[in-house]
Amino acid sequence: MPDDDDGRLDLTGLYGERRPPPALEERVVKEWAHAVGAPVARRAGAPGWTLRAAAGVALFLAGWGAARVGSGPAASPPLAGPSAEPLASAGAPGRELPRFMLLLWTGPGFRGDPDDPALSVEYGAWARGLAVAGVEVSGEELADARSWVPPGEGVPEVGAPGPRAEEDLRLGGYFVVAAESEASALEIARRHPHGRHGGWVEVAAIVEGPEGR
Amino acid sequence: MSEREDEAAAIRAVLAGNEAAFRALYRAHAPALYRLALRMTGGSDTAAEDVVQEAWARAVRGLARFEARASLATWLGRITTHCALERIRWERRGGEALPEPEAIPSPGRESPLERVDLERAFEALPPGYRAVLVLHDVEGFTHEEIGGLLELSPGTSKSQLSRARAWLRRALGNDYAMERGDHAR
Repeated sequence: MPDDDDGRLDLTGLYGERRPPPALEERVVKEWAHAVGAPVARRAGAPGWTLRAAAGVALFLAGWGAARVGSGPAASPPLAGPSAEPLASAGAPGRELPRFMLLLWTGPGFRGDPDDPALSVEYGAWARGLAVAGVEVSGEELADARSWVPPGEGVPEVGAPGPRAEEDLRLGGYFVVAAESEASALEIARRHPHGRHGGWVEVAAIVEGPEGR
Repeated sequence: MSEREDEAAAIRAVLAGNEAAFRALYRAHAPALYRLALRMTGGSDTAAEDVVQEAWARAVRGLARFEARASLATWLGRITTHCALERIRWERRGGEALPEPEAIPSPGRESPLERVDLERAFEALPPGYRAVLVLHDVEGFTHEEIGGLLELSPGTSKSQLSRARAWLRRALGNDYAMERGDHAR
């Protein structure tokens, strides 16, 4: 027992509402898996590249301007990556192009190392290349932790793997690009380095209202 | 099964590579360890995350040798405390002195003091004083134990505790109800 109880301060409520961030759990699990030689389930793995890729996007947005709606292709800088032919996605000046969402999925076949900084550089270069070519592109960071609201009036499942756990698929991040057509959007998606690392890129058109965006 | 038997079963599963078991173990203990790390490091999320991550890394390495002389929670708390103290020793290597309480911005005394005021004042304490206060008043260590952990004499630990308490009371105003009641802990 402590030997100086008189005058003790009540600090039990100090930081009582603070919780460890979900990303910390993923880092700790990864260290545990390394120590005991266990495989880390990809669904539970830290999609660190998402954050870094988003950071890369943020950096290039800061440098090139966030909105490039129909600003037209730049004169010469090539797209990053092995397929550097010009894209036909950037429309005429002032015209709003359809937008497509590129969802980046990782599964058992994903070979990229989330902790390899080269991956974020590669993804950032892809986004920067699009911007240089005049393509409107944006990305958002997704938190590691996921929660699910089941059908009906079920109780939300906080921090749960959700209905895709069996498939071992995880949505790691997304980009939104403006393109002339679905074919152009697919071509943009095909050039994303995610595919070369064994990831899937899902392409979905964003449904615009009658008034446009 | 008793609590100790449950813990032993969980540890066997964790060492066998059962990820669900490890996540369950982590989630059961991480919140308390994180709060402990926050208190020891003065409310820095970055520092607390580093401390907790290092603590789990050491715990995993030592789990096979865990002999259940104490509860797993106590054992993990001790490891976290040691990790935090290593950081504190580094932070206070240049010596430390208590700042003047008046230097801490605070609302007017006519305003009700809130949790944020306590946090702000607590975080202004030098790391060594903060550690003594947390180890004694929250974690229940004796001055002998604190002296051993912080490489101080028990008398110095007692003196720093007294000064830290008095300093906090002065910084917050004596109207702040900080005296520990029977309900605490």
